[in-house]
Order: sequence, then C-alpha cells, then structure tokens
Amino acid sequence: MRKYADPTRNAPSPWRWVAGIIILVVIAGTLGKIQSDARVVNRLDPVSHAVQTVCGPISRLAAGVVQGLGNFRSGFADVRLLEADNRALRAEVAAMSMYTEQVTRLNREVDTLRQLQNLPSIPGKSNLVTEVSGYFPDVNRISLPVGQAEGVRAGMPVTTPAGLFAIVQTVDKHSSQALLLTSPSVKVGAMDISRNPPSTGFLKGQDSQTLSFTLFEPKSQISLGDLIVTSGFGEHIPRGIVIGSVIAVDDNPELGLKRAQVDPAVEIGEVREVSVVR
Amino acid sequence: MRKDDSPVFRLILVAGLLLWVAGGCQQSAAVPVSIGAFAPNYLLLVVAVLAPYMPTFGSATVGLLSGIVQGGLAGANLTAYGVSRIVAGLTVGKIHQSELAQSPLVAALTAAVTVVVGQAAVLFLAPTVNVGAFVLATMGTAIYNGVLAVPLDWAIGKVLSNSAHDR
Repeated sequence: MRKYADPTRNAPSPWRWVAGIIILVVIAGTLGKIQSDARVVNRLDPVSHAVQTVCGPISRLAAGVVQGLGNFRSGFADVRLLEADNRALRAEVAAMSMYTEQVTRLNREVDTLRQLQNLPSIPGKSNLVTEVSGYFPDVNRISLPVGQAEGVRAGMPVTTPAGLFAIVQTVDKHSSQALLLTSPSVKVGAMDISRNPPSTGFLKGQDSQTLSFTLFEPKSQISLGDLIVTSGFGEHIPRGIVIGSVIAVDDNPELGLKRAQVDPAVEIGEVREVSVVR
Repeated sequence: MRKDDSPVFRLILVAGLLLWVAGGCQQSAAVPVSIGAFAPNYLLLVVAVLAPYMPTFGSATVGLLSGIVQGGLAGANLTAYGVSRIVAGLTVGKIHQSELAQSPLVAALTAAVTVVVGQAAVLFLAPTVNVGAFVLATMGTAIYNGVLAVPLDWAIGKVLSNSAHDR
C-alpha cells in the first residue's frame, strides 16, 4: 500500500509551478548576496545568524550526547591506556614547569635588553581556550562559541597544542567561524625553521590533507622533513606557530618557482579543544 | 477535526521539527559519527524522507530550507546550497511522482540519490579544488544516508500515515 499522498492531487498549472521554482531560486540568490555583502566586512549575515541561534540548543544537546557516548565507550575500552597516558602526562607537566620557568627568565632578559636598547616592548598575545562547536569539513570550516565580546577578531589564528589549525573569518557577538588551514582560501606567511637562515614564503590549502608552501626566493633550500612554522609577518598571527612538515618538494627553476607540499601537524578530525590567539 | 490537526499542518510541523533537529545534529553530530571520511548529511536525509508525503514543489521548498540551514550553519555559500537543495528536492519529488511503491529499499535508494544529486549540484555551482575527495565523500554520505533513511522513513510513516488516513 502506498502511504504517501498522491502528488498529482491539486497539482498546480505548469506555469505556476515554474514560477514557484523561480521564486525559490531568487530567494536563494538574494540570501547569497546578503551573505556575500556581510562577509566583505567580516560579519555574519542575519540569516546565518538566525539559523545558528535557532539550531544552537539542539547542536549543544547533540554534542553532549555524542561526547557522553564516546566517553562511556572509551571508559570501558581504554581504561588501561588512559591510566598510562595520565602517568605520562603528569611526568610531562613536571618537566614543562621547569621549561616554563626558563622561558619566563629568558623573556625577562629579552625585555631588559630591549629596554637598554630603547626598543618598544613586544605586544603580548593571550590564548582564549574554547571548544569547536561545529565541524563542516566539506567546506573547510569550523564554528566557535566565542566572538567579539570575548575579543575575537577576523584573521586571528586558531591553534591546538599540535599547531596552527584555522584562521577566524567571520565574527559575531558570541560566535565566530574559522576557515581550516586546508582551505584553498587561506593564505598564511610561513618559514622553514630547519634552515639557517629560515626560508620564507606563503602557505595555502591544497586539498583536505595537504598544504602548498610557495617560497619567496626560488633559490632557497628546503628538504623533506623540514619543519614549517608561521613567519609572523601578518597583523594577527605571531611567529613560530607550528604548521607542519615538508613531505614533497616541487622545484621548477625554469618558471622561477619553488614549492613544497606540507603535511599539517594538526589532525583535523580529532580536534575538540582549541585556542584563539588574541 | 480541529483545524490544527489537519494533515498539512502536521506535515509542516514535522518538516520544521525535523529540519531543526537535523540542523543541530549536522553542526555537532555529523563528523563525530563519521566512518573514515564518510559522514552523514542529516539535512539531505530530511529532504529525502519527507518527499513521499508532499508534492514536488513542497519537496523543492523543503530542499531550499535545508540548504539555507546547511549553508547558514557552515557559513558556506547560501546560493549554492539553496539552489542545489532545490534541485535535490525536485529530483526526489519527481521520483515519488512515478507511482513507486514505498518500501525500505526505495527509501534507501531515494536518500542516496538525493545526496548524489544535491552534492553534484553543489560541485557545479561552487566548484571545489579536490574533486576526487569530494566525489568519494559524496558516495560515502549517499551510503550512510541510505542506511539511516530506512528507520527514519519507518518512523515518519508512523507519524504521518495517521494524517493520511485522516483525509
């Protein structure tokens, strides 16, 4: 037995039907135009804002359920592994505290030396720790539950302990969206710190797994396994955030071009907590 | 019968509720339940399972709404997502006009076709750099949605068949 309604029942005339479809397409086009205009000024358009606000409670509920089920499963399956990880992490924290003391002492020395040379102090950056509230790998985007009110601005880097993860693109009052480093739209100043002096260039997404690093100077040296970090030439992204390591070099001297493929340090599917560097 | 018990009212209510829940799940519960690179697309699933209960224009409208929700959540191109989902809604609506007997297999196949058509239209309207990975992910989503469509179609049938009997 067919359980669905007879679609031919009260069918509109073909012209009315076509007009209806055209109206739907025009609505989609208009919304896209509003979205593009808002994005020019790094803002979220009203429709996306409304959709995110309305779907927010369900999203948080679903995230909680998924996380709870995952924790329940891992609690049973990985208890021994988690205990071993816990012991290893405690040892690492103890070692890191010594390292932090050393970094603090060195920073103090740098500040003192800059004062002696009458140089201005380096502006500080702080990390805003948050969770990824939405994942959209097919469009290389993530949503974050922090925005203007928390000091987030377009262009700020989103990092994990492993390295650079994304760049904030649009900012709303209490939410923002960031483009993943693997997006072809993202362009970041980068350098190869395995070389002395470091080779510099810019880096952009190539595909979902790889980044493309184009060197400014085609004669620069670069090799497989070299570590690539941010160059700090931009306004928001500080120097030295790990990006990834070189997995292939494409040398094309005829075109005056040297490129490398970089494997991102951050495993995108496994990220939950991130920091926005303000 | 009270006015708010009418089949159309119930259908709109169910469609709105499903789009709301699917939108929330799409944001935070699609990637965590993915198998490898294969993740479900809950919003296209809603378009597919509601199509048997509405005329083609209704399917296209639900498609547009699902595209707006998906594009709005992801910050992706609203025109590309809106139009591609209209095309997906029209396709699945036309499939159900062809007097198909509703069955779990038909529900699974139409859900898979909805994904393929919707994502192919996105690829056409907003081309991506890595077509191979996109096509592979689309195939995975089509299979995933096909499996999810079977229980959801059964549940929707339970809710909406009463309204069909009311007529």
